[in-house]
Amino acid sequence: MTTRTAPARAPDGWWSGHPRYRNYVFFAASGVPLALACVVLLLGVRALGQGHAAWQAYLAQLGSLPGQLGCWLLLLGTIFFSVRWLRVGVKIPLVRIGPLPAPPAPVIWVAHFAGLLTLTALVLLVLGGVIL
Amino acid sequence: MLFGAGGFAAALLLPGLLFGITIAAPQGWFSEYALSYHRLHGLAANPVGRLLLVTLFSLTFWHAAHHLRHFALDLGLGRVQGAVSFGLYGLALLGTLFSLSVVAAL
Repeated sequence: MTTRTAPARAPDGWWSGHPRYRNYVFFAASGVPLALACVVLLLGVRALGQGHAAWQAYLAQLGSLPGQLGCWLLLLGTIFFSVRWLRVGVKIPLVRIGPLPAPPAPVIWVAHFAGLLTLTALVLLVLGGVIL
Repeated sequence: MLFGAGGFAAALLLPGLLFGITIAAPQGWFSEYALSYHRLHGLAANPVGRLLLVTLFSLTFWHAAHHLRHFALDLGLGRVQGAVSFGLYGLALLGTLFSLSVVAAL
């Protein structure tokens, strides 16, 4: 006869016990602003498909005070996610290419953030009409 | 795979897109030419634009679902793990289908 033991359970409120836990929980919760950001952008793409008037109405809705407050919150959540994800990404085991040694962590870190800055600038230059 | 690809796609592309479309555009920080309907429709509706949009949105939805599933488990919802997974991955599937239909209608 065996005695079943209850699975280990974290104490209530564990996540507020240490700044690292809080940071981790905020990172995990950042899936919410990511998904909402996609929905907001998809509504814009849908408005583009519905014509000029729908696109103008979409921009007007976003330009209202509640619209802007919501968008700034989503942007903050998304930036928080990006920075955390790219920092965590440094720890992901690298795919080795042939005999080449894996680059050191600081090089990967710089490459990740250079990629973020470059792509953000590229997207803004395209949207701003400087490119294309 | 979807989780990692979605994480990098969202981390690298979403901040710029979100800032440009939802903050800079409504505030009029871009020129009239840049914001003209025909230009933006042309950018989104060409094959490369369509592929980028569907890939970015669908991968991000799957990433967010996986991320939130772990969040739910951390918060002690392990006993209803099946329902949580079904709900979140179901939403990711709906988001993917919505992305496909919206981009197809461009």
